[in-house]
Amino acid sequence: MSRIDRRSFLKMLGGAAPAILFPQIVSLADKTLGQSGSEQPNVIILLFDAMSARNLSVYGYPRPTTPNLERFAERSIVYHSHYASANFTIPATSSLLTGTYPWTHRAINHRGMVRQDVVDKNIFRSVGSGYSRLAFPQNVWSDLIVSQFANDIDTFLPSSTYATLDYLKGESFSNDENMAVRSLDDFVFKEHEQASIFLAPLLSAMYFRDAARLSSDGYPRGVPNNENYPLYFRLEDLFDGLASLVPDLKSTFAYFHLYPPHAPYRAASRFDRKFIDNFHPLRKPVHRFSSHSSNSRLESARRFYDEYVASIDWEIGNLFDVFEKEGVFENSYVIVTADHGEMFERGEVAHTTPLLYAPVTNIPLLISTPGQKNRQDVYAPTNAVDLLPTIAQLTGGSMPDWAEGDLLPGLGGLEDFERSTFSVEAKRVSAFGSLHIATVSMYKGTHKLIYYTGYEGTDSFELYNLESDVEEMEDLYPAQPAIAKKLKEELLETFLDADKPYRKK
Amino acid sequence: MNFVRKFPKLEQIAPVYAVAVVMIYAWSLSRFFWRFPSWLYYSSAGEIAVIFAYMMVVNLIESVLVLLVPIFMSVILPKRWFYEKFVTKGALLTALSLGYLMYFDNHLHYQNPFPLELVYRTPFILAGILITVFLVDWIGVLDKILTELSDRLIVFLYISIPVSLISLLVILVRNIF
Repeated sequence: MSRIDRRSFLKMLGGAAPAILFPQIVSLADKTLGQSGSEQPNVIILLFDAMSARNLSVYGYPRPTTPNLERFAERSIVYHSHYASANFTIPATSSLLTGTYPWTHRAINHRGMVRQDVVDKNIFRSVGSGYSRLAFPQNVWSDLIVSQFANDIDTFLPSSTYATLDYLKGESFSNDENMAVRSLDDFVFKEHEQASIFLAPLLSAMYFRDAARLSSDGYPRGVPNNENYPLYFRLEDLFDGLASLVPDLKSTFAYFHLYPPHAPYRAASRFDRKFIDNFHPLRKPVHRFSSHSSNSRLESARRFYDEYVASIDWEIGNLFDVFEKEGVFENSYVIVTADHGEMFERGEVAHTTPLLYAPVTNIPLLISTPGQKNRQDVYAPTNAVDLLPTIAQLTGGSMPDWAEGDLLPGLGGLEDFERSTFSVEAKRVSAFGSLHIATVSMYKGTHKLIYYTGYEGTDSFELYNLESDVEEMEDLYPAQPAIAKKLKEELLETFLDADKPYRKK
Repeated sequence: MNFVRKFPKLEQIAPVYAVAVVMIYAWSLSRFFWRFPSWLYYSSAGEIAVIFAYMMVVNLIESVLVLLVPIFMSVILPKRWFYEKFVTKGALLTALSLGYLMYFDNHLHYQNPFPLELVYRTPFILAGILITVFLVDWIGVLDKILTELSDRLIVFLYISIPVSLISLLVILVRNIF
């Protein structure tokens, strides 16, 4: 499916609003992207929403949640200290797709979007010429972000592709899908504060009725669904759908943002109750910013999550068998990662809180290069913002000078343990203004410094040694003032510098 | 045909439609302007205009659907029950029904359990609204207030109808071509 390059036409016309109002008319003057010449290796990103590296057995988790990813790891570069740039979908996905931190792209709120002057700096445009660009943002929030880059995407699969029950209205408007999604699903019929007063309750009632009638065969806790939008799907349909795309992958950059294992955690029958075992994770002190969930709730939520992850891993295994059979691994970079993690500790079951502990920020990154047969491990800190420059480089494009990430070690970059990377949480403040209520964590060497600002009367810090204290149990901030001072100065300098344009004079 | 004779005239329909338009469009516009500052940040003027156009078309459809209810009642009920006081009763029915929908919408969330208790309560509330509508015959002041008020709201139709039709045209062009 060809998409419209409105931008070039707008330039031709001198940037007239009518061209945006009636994009299909201008499509005749357009040319499609990704016209391939000689075949180049595919780049396939499989991004799983809310998948924490800390719950994957491929990263040493005691429960056998990911035997198939372990198999995949044997032919991949495995990044052990890979961090999300943010703690929920909108900012984290935006960082991955723009190669910039949230304080730059400013998609920091729920349903926020990337600021206009950053939109042109996206991963789809950074991919080298000759590539066909495919996007399937199954998470509707991800769809909002990806839709901003629609001009640079050749094939755009809507969120409801492979869905079992779909009440997304925007996708009924095939010629104007992106704006219809933004207008209808994200505004007029949005579940909170709908702009529609009459039809919204009617549609909600119909959705409720159909969802209640949906067969949950094979899913004892119910069919998986998008928590925030009216969309149900079955894992087997989703992965069979991805497998069906394999024959079309030729010189393709494919971005698949898959909703699972995001809550609600709904494992397939095969894995339901699989982890009723004697595993008891380390109990950590309840954090003052948490929702103070009980330990029994944390443990049951963790079990449901782990069983859901195992269900997904099973499907990943099936998909990789198809990849193997069709020779995809021989001519593709296959990237498995996440946008952010999920936590079941310190009184919190969630990821959209002020807390930036490892379960939320430490995400998987495994990259299998074309024909790779052996495993390679990378321990230096890396960040989601590194993917854009790396992929640009791998696909023959140039490394953008505006990218805030570096080349990933093993793919053009070197392991740098002294490099600083960041995760940022600032959903409570306006995208227009200063990040005066925020959490920032900085990873440097073996240390991690967490900075809380605006939540309480005074700012506070926590310092952890990730080498000797993987579980982040001992706050070294008071005990190691010299290290704390050095890291604090660097974090504040970077943070204040990024925030400077938004601070009142 | 008896039904045709009970079909309200344009001058009767306009004030009732105006009540529906004011409530439906005001509800949407309040939300539109609440989101507007953030859209300015990450959307172009053209994109905001398209969102506005979709909203106006949905509003147009909703207002026409809402208007069909008093028209339907006028046509099926004996002339004395509704048709003869179409403006007063139609305006009151529209205002109270949409008011209840506003309350309903505020309790509606996809991800939370659907507000079933509200659904179960709805027939009783609708019955209450209907009784109020038919009681208006006995309250002369209310009758006069509703007639005067709905008449003055007609001015908004001169804005909403053209803008909605232009929006409809925009949406049609974007989706057909």
